[in-house]
Amino acid sequence: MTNYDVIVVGAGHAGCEAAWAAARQGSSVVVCTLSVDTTASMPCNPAVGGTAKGQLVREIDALGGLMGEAIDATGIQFKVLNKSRGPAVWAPRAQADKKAYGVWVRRRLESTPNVRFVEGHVEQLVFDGRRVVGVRLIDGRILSAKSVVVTTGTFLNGLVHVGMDSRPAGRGGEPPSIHLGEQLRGLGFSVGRLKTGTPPRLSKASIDFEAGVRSGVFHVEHGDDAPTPLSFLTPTVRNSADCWLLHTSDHAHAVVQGNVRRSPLYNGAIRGIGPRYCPSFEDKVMRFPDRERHLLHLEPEGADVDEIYVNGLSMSLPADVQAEVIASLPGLGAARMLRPGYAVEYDFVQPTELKPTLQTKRFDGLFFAGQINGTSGYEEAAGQGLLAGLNAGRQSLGLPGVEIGRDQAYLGVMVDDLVTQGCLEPYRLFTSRAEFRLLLRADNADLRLTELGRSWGLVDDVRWDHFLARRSRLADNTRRLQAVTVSMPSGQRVAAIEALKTQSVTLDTLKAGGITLNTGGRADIDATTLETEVKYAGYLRRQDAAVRRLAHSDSQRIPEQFSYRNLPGFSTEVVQRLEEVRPTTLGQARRIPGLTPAAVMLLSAHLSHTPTTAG
Amino acid sequence: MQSTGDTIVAIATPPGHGGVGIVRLSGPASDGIARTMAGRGRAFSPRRATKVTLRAAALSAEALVTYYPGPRSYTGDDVVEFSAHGSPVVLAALVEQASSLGARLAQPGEFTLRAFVNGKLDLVQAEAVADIVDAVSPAQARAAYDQLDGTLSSALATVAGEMRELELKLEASMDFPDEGYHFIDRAAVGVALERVRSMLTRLVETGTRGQVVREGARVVIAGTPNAGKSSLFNALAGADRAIVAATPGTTRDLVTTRVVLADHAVELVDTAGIRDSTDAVEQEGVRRAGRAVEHADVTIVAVDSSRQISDNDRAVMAGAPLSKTVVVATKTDLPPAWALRECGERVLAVSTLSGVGVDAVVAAVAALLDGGSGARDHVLVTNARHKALLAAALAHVAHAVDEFAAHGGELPEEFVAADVQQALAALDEVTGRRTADDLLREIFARFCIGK
Repeated sequence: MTNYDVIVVGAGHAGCEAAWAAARQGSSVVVCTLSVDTTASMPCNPAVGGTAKGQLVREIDALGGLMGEAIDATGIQFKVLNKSRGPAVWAPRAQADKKAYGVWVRRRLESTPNVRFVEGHVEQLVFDGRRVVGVRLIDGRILSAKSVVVTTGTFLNGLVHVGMDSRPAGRGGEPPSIHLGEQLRGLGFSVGRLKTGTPPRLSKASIDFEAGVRSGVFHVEHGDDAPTPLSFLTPTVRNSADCWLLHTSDHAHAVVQGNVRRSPLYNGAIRGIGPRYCPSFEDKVMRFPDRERHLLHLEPEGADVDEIYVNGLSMSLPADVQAEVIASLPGLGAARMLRPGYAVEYDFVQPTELKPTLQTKRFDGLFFAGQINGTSGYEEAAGQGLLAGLNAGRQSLGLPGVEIGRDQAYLGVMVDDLVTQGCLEPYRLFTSRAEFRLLLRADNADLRLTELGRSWGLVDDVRWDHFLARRSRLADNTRRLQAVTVSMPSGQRVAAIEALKTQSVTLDTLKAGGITLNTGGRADIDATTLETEVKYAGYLRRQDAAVRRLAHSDSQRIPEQFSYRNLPGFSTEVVQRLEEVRPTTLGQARRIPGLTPAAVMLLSAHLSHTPTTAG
Repeated sequence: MQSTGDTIVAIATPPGHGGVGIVRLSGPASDGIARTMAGRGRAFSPRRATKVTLRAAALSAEALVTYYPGPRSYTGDDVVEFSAHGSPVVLAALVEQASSLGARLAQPGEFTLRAFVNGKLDLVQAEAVADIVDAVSPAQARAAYDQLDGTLSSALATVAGEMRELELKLEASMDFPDEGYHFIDRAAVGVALERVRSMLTRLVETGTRGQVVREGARVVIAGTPNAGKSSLFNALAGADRAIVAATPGTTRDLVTTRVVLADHAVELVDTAGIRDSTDAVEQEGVRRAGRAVEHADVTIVAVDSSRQISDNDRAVMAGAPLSKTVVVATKTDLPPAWALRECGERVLAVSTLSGVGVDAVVAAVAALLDGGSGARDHVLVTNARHKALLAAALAHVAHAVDEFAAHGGELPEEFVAADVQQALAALDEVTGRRTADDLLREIFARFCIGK
């Protein structure tokens, strides 16, 4: 029997960030995985970032996590999405070289002295009363630790469907975790079932991209001219691959319609709930018959890999039908299918079982992160992994758990949504989930979080020095803009910073007019931050004020053991919701779906022990 | 059914003796308590009055019992109402008996709070209940009933619906850029914002009139000394309240009373005679009179028809805005010193001695308070809290409209959305979808016991 501070079950994106965050604080960490070769693997799309997710990757990076650096080191195409919109929704995204990404993360963890990998199948969690003390592997080995982070992804009672065939599997061909799922149910955890899917993969060599482009059915998508890294530490990145865009055809839709009875989604074989925002191709065709065509992207799975991911075509139809669908798509008549797409059903635990630290309410020391909490997406998993690993490490060191607020990060928005509302479908982040979106930008993630990360022991000296330098550059540049005057079209002379507030003036026009700025480090991010904070100062101030107005109710704590039974004035339904979520603050209580403002008012009155004159 | 745990009881009719008094029970034990008190084994038939003899301690009382099973009741709980003789002793005994059987004394407004908690009323409607109880004029009651009926709530829902639609499209554009198209184009954003602004503007504008209805209008009687203001005041108030004497300068301060004039709750104000004066006390009175005219919803200018029109008379008339003024020729029982036409077209002749013309003055004041058009607008924002929040919502939308225009329609969507969201938050606060808890506490503290 070996003793560790922290055991991480699973080495996906949640598991790797958890192990790294725990180890950064000095905890000894063991990562249990079925195979070290699938560390940080990407079983679905070969990309990191995108709307809201890109902001989250920046946050993970600002807190000292791995994802940003990993994708910068192994990305093959970089693009900022939403560039035609405003700076708050600009979202960095990168195509990954999947294999290189996994290897990079694995090497980083393997070269960390206090992290060890153990290959093996975790069968059971081991408890001592109400606290977790370790795990037992299927071969009988027992590992013990002060805290355990469970990141089982789609493996918990995983069931993979291709057409009428279904077989227990966690991902592709790997075995699922049956026993662990049964144990969690047996312990009383509220367990539900979700579904996700992935599209078929094509042989790159079998596609004539040039012909497709010439005939106008493919449209090349290049990376940005000035590609933007996802990590604050990376000076520059390079584009080395293209993607292609195409549209589906009537013919392909007809193939789906003719074979839909053979889809497990439509013959009742799949009961798990899939994400509405990422419908399968069957769903797109059947549910939106008015749309004549749908958008598809052909994305390489790596720099030198003969594998193309067909983004937008996730399917669970039988393999022969999938091949027929592909053959019917414009420009893909001769394309060879390497692997069919599939749907996977898996167990998740209702995240209302968790505290905002991602520790379970039922057992001390037990943390969940990633798809087991009902989320989808590498970034969502990684963010939770970082927070769970951070708190698991703190727990093993005897430190109190920490939380991240909705006003601080998308990570805080996500965790609060999960633990307050639970999940009815796979959860992914959207910018619209963040009520303080203007403050939670990709460009200022470090300004929001790096100090916190430093205080939690996650941020090393290199990142800290980068951060301090950037902060003083911003202050210096602001001073310069205040000190210099420029003449406006009206002939009036105003401070440059005032001129910048007008729509037609940008930092570039000011620089062209002879104003010099301190441009050490990442000039692109500096410029975005400076310009946004000057141009939209009024909006940012208003949102700041809204944060402060809400701060009061978010600082009103509700005791962990507070009893909701026998409180006058509450309906049984409201008591049930409150007991399920057990909000930690009045502010969280207010966000519980179905809790009326009147109920929150009653709760507030009971908490303050004032007689409820309100009654 | 969903239940609010315990059972509450209170007298629902005003304190004191009355013909009929009502005791109301709400909560899961209501039916059981009522049956025990009535000595009855069978259930009461829902929503039908049943005559029973209630036993409460030493006395027994004849009463009608009506049982409203939840959720089809006022509070949404099971509700029982006893309708008994309106003696405080009898009603108190019934409440005490219900308490001894497990009911708890209701706190102020708790029945309405339960209706709100159980989703039977939204906040606007709950406030309307308090307004109906407090209403002194038919116009107030009518506005409050409209509000309870959901007239304002549905007007708000219409605006909020427009805004949610806009928000939805902006959010979809930002969150799904891969779809390759904008869910809403720039021009449509501008049009939608403009439409929402005008809807909100209309609602806020009804607030001025609505507040007059709810809070009562200020009707000020102005005029030169001894023009017959106080006699007119007394005729309108129907009581000898102001000092009436023929010596100029008798009324040195403002005299006010609350009356109902043609459905409208009115605060009637008598002012000191307006003229140049050297007496310090009187000067102060004259100053206050000037201020009262400034803040009046309607000014009645009294002009003595038995004297020549003086410069002072003309000054008083000039000081009152035409659109809110009724000119009255007083003392028409005396021989006239001038023809009514000399003072403009709308002069009303009044003799307070005979009472002739007083009704015409009331009608003219009411017409001005109704807003002139005579058409009654159903949606009326009567509550200062609603008005303030609607004004805040309007300010956010106006900010969005202005910024959108200032950027030539190129303002990024997230900034438009930020204003729309703040405006929506203000609207949601009106109906209580989202609201600060201390605010709610304040609202419910206003209710009387039993409502």
